[in-house]
Amino acid sequence: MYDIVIIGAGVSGACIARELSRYQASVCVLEKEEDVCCGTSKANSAIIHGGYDAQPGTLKAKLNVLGNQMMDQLSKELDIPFIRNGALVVCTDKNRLFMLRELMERGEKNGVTGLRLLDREEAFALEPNLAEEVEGALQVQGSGIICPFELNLAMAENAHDNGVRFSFCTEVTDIKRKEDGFLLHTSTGDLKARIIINAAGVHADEIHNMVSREKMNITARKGEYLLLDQSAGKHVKHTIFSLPDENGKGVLVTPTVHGNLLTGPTAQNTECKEETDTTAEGMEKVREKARKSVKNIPFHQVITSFAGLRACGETGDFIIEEVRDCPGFFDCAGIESPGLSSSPAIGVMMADMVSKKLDLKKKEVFCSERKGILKPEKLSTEERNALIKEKPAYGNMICRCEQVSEGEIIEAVTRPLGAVSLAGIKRRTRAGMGRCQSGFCAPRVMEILERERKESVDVVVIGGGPAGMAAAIAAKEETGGSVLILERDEKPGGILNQCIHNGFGLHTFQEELTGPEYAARFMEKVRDLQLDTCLHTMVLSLEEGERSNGIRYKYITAINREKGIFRIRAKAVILAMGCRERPRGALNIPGSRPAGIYTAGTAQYLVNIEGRMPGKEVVILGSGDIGLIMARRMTLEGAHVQVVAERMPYCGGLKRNVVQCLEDFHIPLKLSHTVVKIQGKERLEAVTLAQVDENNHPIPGTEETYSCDTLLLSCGLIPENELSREAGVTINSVTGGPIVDESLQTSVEGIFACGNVLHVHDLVDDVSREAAKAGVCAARYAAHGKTEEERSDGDAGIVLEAGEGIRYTVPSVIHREHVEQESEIRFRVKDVYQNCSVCVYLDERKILQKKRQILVPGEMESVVLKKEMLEGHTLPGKLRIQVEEEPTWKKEN
Amino acid sequence: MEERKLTCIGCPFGCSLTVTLEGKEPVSVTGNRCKKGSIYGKKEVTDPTRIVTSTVRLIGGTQNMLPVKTASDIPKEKMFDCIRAIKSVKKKAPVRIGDVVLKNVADTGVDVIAAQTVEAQSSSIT
Repeated sequence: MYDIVIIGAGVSGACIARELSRYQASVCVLEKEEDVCCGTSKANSAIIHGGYDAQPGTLKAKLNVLGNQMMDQLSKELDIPFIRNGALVVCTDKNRLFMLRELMERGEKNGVTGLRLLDREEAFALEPNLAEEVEGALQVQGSGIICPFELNLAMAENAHDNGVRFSFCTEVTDIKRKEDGFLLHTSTGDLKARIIINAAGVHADEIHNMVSREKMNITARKGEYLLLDQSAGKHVKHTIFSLPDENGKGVLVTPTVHGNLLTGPTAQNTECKEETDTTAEGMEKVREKARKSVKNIPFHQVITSFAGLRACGETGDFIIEEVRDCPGFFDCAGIESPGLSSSPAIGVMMADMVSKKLDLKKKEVFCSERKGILKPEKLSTEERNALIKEKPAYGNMICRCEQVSEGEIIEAVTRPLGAVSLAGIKRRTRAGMGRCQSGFCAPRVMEILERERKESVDVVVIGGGPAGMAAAIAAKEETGGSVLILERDEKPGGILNQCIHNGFGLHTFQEELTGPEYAARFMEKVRDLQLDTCLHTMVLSLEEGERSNGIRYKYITAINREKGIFRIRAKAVILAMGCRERPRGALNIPGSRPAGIYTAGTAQYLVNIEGRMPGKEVVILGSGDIGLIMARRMTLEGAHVQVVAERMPYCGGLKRNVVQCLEDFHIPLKLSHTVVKIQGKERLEAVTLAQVDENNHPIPGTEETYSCDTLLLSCGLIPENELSREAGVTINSVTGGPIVDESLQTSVEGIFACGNVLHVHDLVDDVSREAAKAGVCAARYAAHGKTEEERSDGDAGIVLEAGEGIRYTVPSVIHREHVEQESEIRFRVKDVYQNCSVCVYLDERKILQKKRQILVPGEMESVVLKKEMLEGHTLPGKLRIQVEEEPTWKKEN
Repeated sequence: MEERKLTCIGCPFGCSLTVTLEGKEPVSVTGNRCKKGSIYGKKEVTDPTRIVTSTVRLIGGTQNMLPVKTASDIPKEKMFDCIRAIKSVKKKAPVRIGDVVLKNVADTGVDVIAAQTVEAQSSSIT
């Protein structure tokens, strides 16, 4: 839940965001395009108007004057190029000279200073290139020129520096009113807000009409422009306007803040709100009208033409207000000219209304300053040489027309809210804006963009086994962001590739598949979705990086044959490294150390992948599923499996494996038995089993010796969390896997875990389902990050406690507000229980009781908690799961 | 009346079934959670079947072994015959998942099919 969501990252949205970032509130800006400044804000006259034009008493008049007054300080604070070059409104008809006076009087009423009427001579003294027909002019000393991209960017970047989140490529598709605010459906998922500010430009009516019965209509009015080369930039010094009419301020001729000459715009209402094409008639009209106020414009030096859309409301004035029939929803609509000039004042006005509405307090610390991209041409030769020495990229010129170096382009891509496209780089650095219009630099800029962007991936999945593939697929399907799978082996699928037995996929596909078949289904999906997969690639380390735009970035160092050691920057990481088997050395089995002792999984690899039999006379210690499966597999391949011994009084594997792998082949299962002796020097010759007592001590006199050449061990699996630990992830000492919350997020923000690295599963179907959840949550994190508020919620979750009879639970913490409808709690019991109940208590109040005929440690269990069950707890709240009834296991032999 | 205790393998639950037989005919199944249990229970005491999975040697592939399985379940007592027949097969890469590796294995009327796609060595998997 955000306090405030602003729809639209144009100059209005960005200015509002910056002003609101002065307050203690969580603010998020949603933008349907990939960058800020993509609509009206990017294609306009780039003028900070004096304020003489609007009717006195209107918001346009008031905010234009205020905005203009704020601009000098903003230019300094936010490093925005701004020049008060002054303007001349020229009149070419003696009979209409009175209108200049009217305009001056209107301006004075609006509070504009520095207005002066000029006769023909005075006008020509200031601007010799005025058209011969000019009879007089109104001088507007306070008028200025600005870079609109830089104004928009600076506002957004400064807002971002002060904690505002930006979510790009996020189109609002619907808004629902809720008791405590609004639910926004967007193209990248749902989010909630207490207040919505509609700054959606030409689409503001569509957003407004989602919530209000009083319909709004915004007309897009197109304006075409011609931009001339910098060699024509000194043709006029002032911004030259003709007398305004009902369609606006008419065609102007002005130098730009970057030294070009700009002329336009036309005014043409359009049907389509994306129609920014130029027309032959439009361009001719610009030329024709421009010539009426300025002579000898060197139109042969036009370097480009473009069109922008004005967002025209029906009232003729800006609409900046709380919507009458929808409290909490504020419109910032109809922001046509002088919108750019007014934008800083619009920001202040809106922030003022919203902060009063929410009773917001100012932050103690607000950083009002922002530095733009380093511009080497402003440095002395010595300074610039020193810079190039330190960072050679600043010596590599990429854009020759505008003289932009590789260093500036890299900064444009890598700084917060960085560019993601050629256009984004152009607006930030001017690369491609000159007379060749990117003909030379575009390929080079593309290369730099690709190189610099490649290293940041939305979701990196470590491990391409069943968990990794399911997580990656779900992540991609959730937001469409970039997903990369890093897999150690030469093909994805993980351990499934050697699990040639069937029984996989009953839940997922409603049919029984073998391991390779189950893997193939997911591999196909990975291919269809074109997910990037790096095979033969081992991750060496995982660490946290900088925090930017609500995301805590991660850095992954990996190694493979093609790239050597390389680093990947990721927004979210999913741990899916699986587990390893507990080896003999860790079991403390006494005796000699001959050949012939394997973990069951190693034997499985030898038989199924390599086609080699590890031995002929076999004893298996441990009744884990792989041990049972290998008992059958070895038997079918011609070996004699004499016995399976299990130290515990119950079987570690699934019942059906006992039936199909042991009973079918008359292989005895000895519970409460362990290996007490291993004999053989070169090759294993015999193992001795003994029964154990309740404290796991061998009972003297129960020893039996089996002569054999092979001992397989299936004595438990250990999640592989060496990487996770290094990254600072807290590990649950019972599961050996990370402690996670309801989103399967670990103790480290943005690192998620699923599958056997989290806790050991019995069924791959469970792994796939859990992994898909992790994928969805990781993708959402990569798309939206976390607000300050969400981060500080970190310790307020409900803690789960493994009560009587419960070995562990996953998750360990539930944040109720992040539970969508329900939350599944997976757990294992400590012992065998029959005719018992699984009970869940919230602060000692029983909220769930589920009867179970049988619970066994070898099978993972789960209960589903509905969101409403989790209401009404104390803070932070405690959930306890326990088994009720006495354990009644019986030794079967 | 004879009672036989079985563990259902219809799904991972593994219900404990009790099948009551009159002579050789099963008359009732109890302990099952779903109808799969009843079908399995009756079948298991009259006509037990299994899906058999194994591997065959692969020639010229990106891996040495090809995982295979019977396309459907076969009588339980034919398992070893089936495995013996599969052992004698050598398959040339490339192989597509579902390709028939051995027709009518051990006279069961069931084919053995490939459970994995394996490319020939020269081409690479991407």
